[in-house]
Amino acid sequence: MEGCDETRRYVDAWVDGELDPGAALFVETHVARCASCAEELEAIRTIKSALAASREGHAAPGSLRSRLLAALDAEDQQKVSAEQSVRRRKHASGFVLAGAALTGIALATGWRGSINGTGPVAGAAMMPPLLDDIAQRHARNLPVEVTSSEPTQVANFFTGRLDIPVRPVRFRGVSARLVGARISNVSDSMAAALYYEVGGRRVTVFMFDPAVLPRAFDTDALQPVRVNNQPAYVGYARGYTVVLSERSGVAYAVASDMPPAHTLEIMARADIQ
Amino acid sequence: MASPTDDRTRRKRFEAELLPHLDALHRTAMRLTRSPSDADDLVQDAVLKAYRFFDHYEAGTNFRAWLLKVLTNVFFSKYRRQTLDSQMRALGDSDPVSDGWMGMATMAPNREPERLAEKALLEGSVLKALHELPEEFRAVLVLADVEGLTYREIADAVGCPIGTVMSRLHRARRAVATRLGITAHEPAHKAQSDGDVLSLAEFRNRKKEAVG
Repeated sequence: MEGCDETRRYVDAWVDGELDPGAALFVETHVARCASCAEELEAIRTIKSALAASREGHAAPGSLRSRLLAALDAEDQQKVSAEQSVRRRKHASGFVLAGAALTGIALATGWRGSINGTGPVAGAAMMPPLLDDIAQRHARNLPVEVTSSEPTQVANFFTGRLDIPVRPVRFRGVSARLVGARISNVSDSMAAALYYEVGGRRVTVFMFDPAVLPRAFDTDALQPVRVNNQPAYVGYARGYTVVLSERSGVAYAVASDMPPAHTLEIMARADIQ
Repeated sequence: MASPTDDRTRRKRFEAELLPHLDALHRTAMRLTRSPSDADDLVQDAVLKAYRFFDHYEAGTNFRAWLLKVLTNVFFSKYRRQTLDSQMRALGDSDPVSDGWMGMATMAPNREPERLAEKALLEGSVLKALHELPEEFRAVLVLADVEGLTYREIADAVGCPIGTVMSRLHRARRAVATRLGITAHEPAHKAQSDGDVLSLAEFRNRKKEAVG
């Protein structure tokens, strides 16, 4: 019968209540006069209601609750000691950002890797493609397409070329210079790559569609932190540190060859509009 | 730096949000891992991850869906046993809906209605068939039919487009139906792989043409 193919493709969405009214009407009209599609619809309904019914009577074991609370306690404990070690390091450090306090940076959890960036945070097998991609693009140091240290000129270069507004970041309280920019990619999404020299080190700031970001937390290779009270992730790939954050609907990635703590410090000093 | 008081508040907030959903988390973990000890480990890993990422949870959105997303992510990154390739083969590429399962002759006894009349029996058979599905398909079916997540939420949880969710659901349900012997139909379409996704927009457009 005509319409069987379409009906069978979309009958699932009908049962799930995900079809819009027009498409739903098409399926309903067809099913009313096609016994074989009606049978198919009934089969799906039977499965769906049997699975929904299986929710009843399933309770988590009583031990699970106490086990979870204990695990959360352990996590809280780990976090306290990680913050203490950051405070200690803060006093001892004399890095390029001389005397820079780790202002506005909070580790959201216990740091399970090395805070000094002497070792990778997680093994290469766990490396998320996004992190690896950004580190590689930073590492390659491709030629710039616009050479300017003037933020408005760089912003103009990107106007009409990207779906997101590109407003060059300014860095506060540290000697920083915009070197140039080019159109790049992050996980198949077009991105702006802005090259800076911050405290004499090469730093790349990528700006891209934040739709690429949610999958970031798939992996243990990224550590959630807060920078200036905004959520951010920090990761370590191919010897580079990458800090990811989202501001006003734009994803920012700051990549550098500096250890995580110092890259976070740079992120904290970034004035993102 | 967060003060100790902030941390305690955060912990309390997290606990208050989490505890009502323990049954759902455990139930889903059981369906995904099919093993009670793996299920407990998976829930614990997922809860710790959710706690670490709690600041990234958008207040006001569906917390249960968010927890299930974290759980599904942890499951696929740490607990999965099969590769997607082997799963696609297990579900068959040439006839994605029914082959690789059971021939119709084998299934014939199951088609007698009185054998399915008993609801509990049916539920048991459906769960058994669910457990035999490859992981990618099982996850989508559990999130849709047991946990009642929307297509958007499922797409977010398993990290694929909505069209892929629809295609996997379609195939998962036909595989279960075939296993139960409650439908004898040929597959609706010949999807060659998971990449052949269904599109609601395409359906609507085609319908418009047909009408106009």
